[in-house]
Amino acid sequence: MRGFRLGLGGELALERDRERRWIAAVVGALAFLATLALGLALALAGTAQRWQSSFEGTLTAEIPAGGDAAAALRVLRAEPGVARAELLARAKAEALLAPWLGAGNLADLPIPALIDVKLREKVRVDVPGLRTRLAAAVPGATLDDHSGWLAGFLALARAATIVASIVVVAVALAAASCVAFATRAGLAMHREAVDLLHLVGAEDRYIAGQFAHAAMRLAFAGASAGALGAAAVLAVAHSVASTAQSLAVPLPALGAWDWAALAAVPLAATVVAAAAAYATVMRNLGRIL
Amino acid sequence: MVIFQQVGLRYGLGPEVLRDVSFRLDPGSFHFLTGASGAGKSSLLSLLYLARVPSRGTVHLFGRDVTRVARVDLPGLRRRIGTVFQDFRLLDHLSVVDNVALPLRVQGTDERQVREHAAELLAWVGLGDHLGALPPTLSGGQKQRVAIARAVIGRPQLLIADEPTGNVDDRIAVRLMRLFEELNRLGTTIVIATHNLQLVRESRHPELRLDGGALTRHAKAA
Repeated sequence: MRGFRLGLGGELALERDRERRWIAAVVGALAFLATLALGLALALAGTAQRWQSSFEGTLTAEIPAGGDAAAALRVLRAEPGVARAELLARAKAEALLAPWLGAGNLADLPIPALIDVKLREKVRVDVPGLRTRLAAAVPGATLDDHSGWLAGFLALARAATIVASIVVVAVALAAASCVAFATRAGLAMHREAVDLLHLVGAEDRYIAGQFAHAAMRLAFAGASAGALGAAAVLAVAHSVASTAQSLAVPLPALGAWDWAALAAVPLAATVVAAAAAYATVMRNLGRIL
Repeated sequence: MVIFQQVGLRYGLGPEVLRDVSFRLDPGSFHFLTGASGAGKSSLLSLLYLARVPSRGTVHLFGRDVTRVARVDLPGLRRRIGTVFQDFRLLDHLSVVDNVALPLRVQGTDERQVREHAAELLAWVGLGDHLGALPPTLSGGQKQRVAIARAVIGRPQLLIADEPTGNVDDRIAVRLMRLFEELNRLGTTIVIATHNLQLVRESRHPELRLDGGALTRHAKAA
């Protein structure tokens, strides 16, 4: 109908406040940090989990150069829990060492033989006992169940997850404080209009809803931009690292669910901003008639 | 409808601006509130439209003691009161019709009804061709009529007007008074604060007179 032009921000027209637009910038910067921290933690945790799964149920026996690999294979294959034990071809072993020692420098080196051992599922293997029998059969032979360095990596991934969680909580608190501050300023700026709304019968929640809606839109815009920026940084970093990769270990990478979790950051920021604005208005209006 | 008993009002630690004010307004009555500038008219009106609570005494509105009413119940009481403020208090960034629609919108009334009623009321006050205008583009008299339309759109039981003829010429003042008379005939209790004694003398309605914060003339004692 002619004449009606009420904006998205309701009667208070909060969308017209230039002073409030810095909410989007601050929430955007905070969302950038949160997304980056969360992305790194998820990538590390996912990689740790993948490594743990891939190494679970496997052992690697290392036979010193010149050692009796056949004897070692006999010992290993005699173990009931071992499903398969295969000697790694020298070419494969050289390929594993090439990144560190250089492809052309391996021919004359005394490279130890490696035996890849696959264990049977649901059959318990006495790894220390097997290790002792292997060393007795082939002096100098070792048996690695990967638990040592994997434990270190898992601890790193856990630490990264804890740090990221702390960062995300701190960022959420900072965003909520920023929105609360801006909302208090907005209430003061629109005091006359707020009083008028009260006098014509508006409930506090009606007024709080307008502030929450305005904060929600600003936070969503800012947080979306911030999260997109962080996602771009993560993607570029992974791409650069993949190009330059020469290690034989997989790079930390984000899976589909990880990206979905990162996409939730702007939504969470929006909810935090709306809740902070709503609670601030309700608390402050409760102090006046 | 309205009962004031030994009401006193002070701002902060200042002196009382209203002292021992007692009166009663029956439903459907029409009263003028008079007094010199600073006599306490606006303060008394602010108690009537529930912008304040008295420092002492009791105020009963619609059968409820507003000095004891819970905060959550205030919006419901305020919706039964229409107020025409001396300075209009129109929201400059909203169109005329959106300003008038305000009391219905805050109640969550169906938007189609809001639009119909707001347009009808603006036509009733002679501003049917100004629906989309912004308040700063209107004259004082036009703003006054917008404020009146906003005050009555919620069909209030009590209509309060603070110097409604103070900013308009005599012709518009007469027209506005006819509007108030018409509303009163429809059953609305009306209180008009004015310093225009000629207006009061020409009217058949009783007068509440404030002098230095005390009521010196009233139609009925509480």
